[in-house]
Amino acid sequence: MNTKRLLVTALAGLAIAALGYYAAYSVGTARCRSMCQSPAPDLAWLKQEFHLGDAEFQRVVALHEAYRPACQDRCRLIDAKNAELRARLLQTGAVTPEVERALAEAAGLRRNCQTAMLKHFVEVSRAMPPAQGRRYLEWICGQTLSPAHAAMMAGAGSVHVHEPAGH
Amino acid sequence: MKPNERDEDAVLSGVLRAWSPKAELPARFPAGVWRRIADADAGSGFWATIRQWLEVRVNRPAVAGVFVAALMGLGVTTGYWHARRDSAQTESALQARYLQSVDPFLPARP
Repeated sequence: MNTKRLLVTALAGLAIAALGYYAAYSVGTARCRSMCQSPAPDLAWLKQEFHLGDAEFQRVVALHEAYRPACQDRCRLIDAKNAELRARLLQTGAVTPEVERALAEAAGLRRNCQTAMLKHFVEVSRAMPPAQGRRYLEWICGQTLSPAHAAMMAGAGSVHVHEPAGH
Repeated sequence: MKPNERDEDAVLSGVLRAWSPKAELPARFPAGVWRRIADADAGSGFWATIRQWLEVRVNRPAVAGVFVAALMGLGVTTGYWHARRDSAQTESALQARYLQSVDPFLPARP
């Protein structure tokens, strides 16, 4: 009798524990599931992260949709220019004036691309409430303009010391 | 045996015959006896001892309630912790996806 009661109590405890787990997990992941089920999960994340209202979110989505095709066009141009540069370099085996010109053109395309990207960030930040826009700009600049050459620059201070120019 | 001693012996015998104990058994005495018999049948290994210990305690509704509540708390806490971990991973993945969609110069993340 006691063993049966122990078994029933243990099973009831385990069933309630499983229910508790399921309920807590469902509630805890509801927001993420909702974002993942939206048509653009990455933008849904942006909406949630920067507390955007529906109107602000619609403006951000419109900016994003306008930016993406132009960005892809620029990427195609950069890829084509890089392919041309690679072909010229392999053909001549030297950094000829043609290679240098192609290099300058590729750099110009990358600069245009980065300029458009930064303009897009500013536009998106302006579509947000001021405080969130500032936070977005700080975050996106931190992510995209962070030091990318840390390994190369490590120890460089002992060789090249860049002092601010005195005026 | 002297006649005097024989008379005293008869008196004592009479007193003993007239005496009957009035003691009462403790509460749930039969249940305790049966439990001890069951315990003896169940053996005396480590698990048997644990089981007996649990049986005795779970038999009390208050202890059983605490046991079930503790399991529920464990389930809720574990579920909450897993949800937090999975949500953080999902949000991190979505953040990376957004960055990839606006910055073509970012290296692809695994």
